[in-house]
Formats: sequence, structure tokens, C-alpha cells
Amino acid sequence: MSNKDRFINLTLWLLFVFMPFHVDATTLSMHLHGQIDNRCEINFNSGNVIDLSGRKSETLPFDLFCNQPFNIALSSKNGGLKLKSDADGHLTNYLFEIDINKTKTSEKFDSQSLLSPNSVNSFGVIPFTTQGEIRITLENILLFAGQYSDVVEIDIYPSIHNVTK
Amino acid sequence: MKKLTFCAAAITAVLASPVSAAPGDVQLVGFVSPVCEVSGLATQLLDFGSVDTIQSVSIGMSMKCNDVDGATVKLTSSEGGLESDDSEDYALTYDATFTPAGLPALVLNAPGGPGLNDVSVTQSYPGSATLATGIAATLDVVTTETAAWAGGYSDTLTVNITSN
Repeated sequence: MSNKDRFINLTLWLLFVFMPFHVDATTLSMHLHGQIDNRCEINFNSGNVIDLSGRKSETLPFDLFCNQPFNIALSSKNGGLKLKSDADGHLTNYLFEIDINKTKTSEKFDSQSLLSPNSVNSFGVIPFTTQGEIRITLENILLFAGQYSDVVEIDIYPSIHNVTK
Repeated sequence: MKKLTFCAAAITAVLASPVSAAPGDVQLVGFVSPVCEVSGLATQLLDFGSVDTIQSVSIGMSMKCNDVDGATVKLTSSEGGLESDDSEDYALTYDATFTPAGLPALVLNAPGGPGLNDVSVTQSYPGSATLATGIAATLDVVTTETAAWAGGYSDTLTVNITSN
């Protein structure tokens, strides 16, 4: 067998072997895609009621999860603890404090200022899982007989204003 | 550039939407038991001694009412005066003055004489922090008539307080 024949045989053999893997495309692209939904939530594992009967201050711990920097919007229904039996709506003001461990957030608000919404920011920190605490301190201990109540609405949502601390 | 602008707008829309908002309420509650009382009487017997002369006695007490609307105090003389043991319905006149510290005094003028029972006066006091926490009060009783006849003279004076 001449060299020419050997070359022809080798060429044909190579074409035969690699024929199934031959692709006409001139480029190869891969599209990778993933998504994690936003999730922010506060859980009051010991209940969401703070009872201030006979005491001036009380705390409520909570667990917080958020996979985004977040804002917490706070607002009070009455702006203080309202005496139900009083037609004039006698109010006992209080100090509302919120501390969140991982974001080092520590804010305090007078109950009257919570009549309009206030916000607490994570300053760009994504905490994932952390703990926090709400502390209520009455301006004066509850004095007049009857039932007192207020509702503090707390909304947590991903922040689009990531302010760096 | 158009693609970048479009992506930025899309991200803003995703983050701005309240998809993951987790609203929650914290309830603040409190309860205070009602208290409305006149207390601190060292004795329930006020002895004038001999009432053939003008006599007076005074006793300290305290008053407390934590109703936000305040309290009404009522002074009642059961016999309308210091009634004679020996002459039914004959009573000597006296004045009883209940004075809570810093508040208007309540004065009962027991009319004496025959006939009148359960003579009373009332005074309303507005709710206040001092009244809710308790204030000192005095009860002063002065006879305004002397007895001509021998024997014992007595009356029951009731201080009653009710929330408004």
C-alpha cells in the first residue's frame, strides 16, 4: 500500500469515526436561569399581645426573616393606650422601641408620632434570619379603672432604597 | 442601552411591588381594676362627751377613686341629728364637714328636732390622678345645739363614695 493509499484510508476512517458528532452550528450557547422569590416576615412566637396591666414596661421578642434589604412600616391606631370606657378617649402615651440584632437597628418612637406611619430601614443589610425585640414603656402607669388597648400595625417589605450605613 | 434600561425598570418594578409584605398587628392591652373607697377610719365611734356644751370631734381618713369620670361622695345622717335615747325623734343639730385635701368640702347641716331621718348631701368630684391614687381627707363634726335633757344622744353618719 502506497503512502497515498494509506492517507486516503486514514482520512476515510477518521470521517467514519467522527461523522456522528459533527455539528453544523458555528456557536454554542447555554442559558442558565435561577430565581429566588422575595420573602420578608416577622413571627411573634410568643403571641402578638403585650399586656401592660400593673407594669410600666414590657417586651415582645420576634424572629425576622428577609432575603432583601427591608423597610418596616409602623403605625398606631390610637396613638396611645386608649381607655375604652371613657367617651373622651383618655390616652396613656408610650414609647415604642424596636431592636433588630443583625442589622443593628434600634429605633424609638413616641406613640403620638405613630399616628402617621413611620419606617425603620435595614440600611442595606440583608439579614436573612435574625431576632429582634419590641419594647413598650408607658409614660405613666395605667391609672384609671377599665380596659386599655391600642394596635400597632407592622408591615415589613423589601426595600428599594438601600441606604448604606 | 435599551436592554439595560428595560432591565433596570423591571428590577425596580419587582422590588417595588409589595409581593412579600407580611403585615402583622401587635395588640397592646391593659386592665386596671376599679377602686372607689373611703378608708382609714381609726374608729367607728366618735364620742362628743357631754353635749350640754358645744362639742367637736375630728377624724382623719383617706379617699380614693380611680374612675376616670371621678366620684360622688354622699354624707348621710340616719337620724337627722344626735337623737335622744329617751325622747324618740328628738335630735340635736350638728354640722359634719368632709374635706378631701385640695378639693371642695362637703358640709352636712343635720337639722335636728323631730321627724327627719336620712338627711344627706352629695358632692361630685372630677376624675384626677390625685383622686385615682388616693388623697387624705378629714371629717369634722361640731354640735351646734346643747342638750337640755339628760340621757344619751347618738346618730349614725355614713360617708358613701360611688364612681361617676
